[in-house]
Amino acid sequence: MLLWASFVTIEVLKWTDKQIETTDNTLQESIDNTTINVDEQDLIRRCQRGDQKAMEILIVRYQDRLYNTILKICSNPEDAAELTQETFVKVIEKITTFKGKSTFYTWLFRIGMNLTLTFCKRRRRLPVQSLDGSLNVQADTAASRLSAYLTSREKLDPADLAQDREIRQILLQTLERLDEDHRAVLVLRDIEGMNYHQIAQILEVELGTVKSRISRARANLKELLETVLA
Amino acid sequence: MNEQEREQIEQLIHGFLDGELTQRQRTELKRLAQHNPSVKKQLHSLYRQKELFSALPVEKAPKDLAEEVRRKLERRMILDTEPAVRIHPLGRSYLLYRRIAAAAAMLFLPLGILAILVIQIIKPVDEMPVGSPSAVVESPDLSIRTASGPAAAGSEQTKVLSMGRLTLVTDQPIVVNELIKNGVLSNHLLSEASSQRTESSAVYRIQCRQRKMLSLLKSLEPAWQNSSKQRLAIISEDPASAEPIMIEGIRPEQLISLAEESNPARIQMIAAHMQRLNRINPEDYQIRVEKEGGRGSVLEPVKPRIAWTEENKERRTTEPNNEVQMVLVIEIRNQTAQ
Repeated sequence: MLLWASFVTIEVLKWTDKQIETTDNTLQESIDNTTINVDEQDLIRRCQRGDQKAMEILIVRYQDRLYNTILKICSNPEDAAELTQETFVKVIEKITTFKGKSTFYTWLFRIGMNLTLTFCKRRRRLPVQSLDGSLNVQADTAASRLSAYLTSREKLDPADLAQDREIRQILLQTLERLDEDHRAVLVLRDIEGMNYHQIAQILEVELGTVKSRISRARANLKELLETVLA
Repeated sequence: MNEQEREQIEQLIHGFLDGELTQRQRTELKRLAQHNPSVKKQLHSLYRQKELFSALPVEKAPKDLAEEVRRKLERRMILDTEPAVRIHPLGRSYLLYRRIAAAAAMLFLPLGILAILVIQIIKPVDEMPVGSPSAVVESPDLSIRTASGPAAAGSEQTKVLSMGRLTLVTDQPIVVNELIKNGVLSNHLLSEASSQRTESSAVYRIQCRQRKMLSLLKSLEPAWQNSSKQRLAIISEDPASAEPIMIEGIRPEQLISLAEESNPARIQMIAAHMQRLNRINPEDYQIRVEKEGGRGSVLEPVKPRIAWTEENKERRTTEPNNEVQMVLVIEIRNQTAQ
């Protein structure tokens, strides 16, 4: 009887959690749908009428965030610039089809991620890519500083470490060794700071897939970092 | 700790790092971390790792990105090139769709080819199509002669009238191009319109019913504000004249007046009137009158009255004729490329 009671309690708690999560998602969706401010709606409407000035404002508004995200995924500044341009070209060409069902930001990133992941997957198949995969750790000091930071219990400022060019290089090269799908979720979550719901919308996958990908991506990254720093 | 439990704990840790846990899940994780040092260690190292990646500086986009996008758009508009990187929707549903489409194509393509071959063999020679309606004669430069005749074999009652070739010279080709596209889309003329791109221009050919043509022309009025020169060219039906009728600086209301006609001869006549009218330089008609005080003043010329707008008004068809199809070629010429 006691076992039965505890089983029922656990199931009820699980159900409650699920309900809260669903409510959270619905709430997030409604927030996302209302976060297009009036100014942006006006800009989008002007773009849809072919206003070049409005297009330029939209590009300038989002270019750094999009470029930074694409660069962290494709790891090459020229490719990132080209892909960012291509994304904006696509967005402007398709702007008349934008109905505001998601935010403009989500829509823009969806197009950008689609282009970037396709590009990265195609590039991976090219034989010119190095199969060596060894990381070019230039300075032992950088590696040991990084290692100390990851294991230390002291309160340290991560921004100080991230300013170091060599540490940055180690981090980015390690990130580059993850497969594209894992890299994408990690960049969108940890670098761009998106929530699970937005990531699911952008990558057009289920919420559960986002969660499991993030979990696996972080675990893989941790293993890779440990190998590099060993 | 079994595999399932380990996975659940990992989900809890990542959910905690991302601030996506409920209060109950947070309490559960805290309790786990207190009792299990390996969970605590994993939580700490993943927290540090996340913190570090979040602190990576934001790289700025190249300064000329907006300008490059604008250039790409213009190039693409003019050359109509394919994008360098194509979008391929990813995901299981798209893959399934592609597989179904490929299977369907493999099944129906040989059947289709076989059917065409059988039809070709059994069809009598005299029933073969004799070509497109000869009434619309296109000259090599895409100007269209004004002529009438049956539009299609199946609809012998339908007349095809040409509105000629409208040229809009602009330094904002993207804007004008978008206006034309929007006009075509909003009037549901997608299946009746075709386009062709050259290095410095975009040419649209629209063939539709008179009512739709009038509606399209009304929606295209803003294109005049974004273009510096406008011209309508119609091949003259007068055997004595080799030159086409060129209406320089044609205004939207003039074009609409032409589109309201359903008689090719009247279109020619009205176009010839418009050609003369638009050539009139107001200065040629200014009369300088010496006033008594010796100071000169300029009188505005009285605009010539045009026969078709006045005495023929009553005879003009007021309601668009549904049996009339109209053809208009619109050329958007890039001023900067000239």
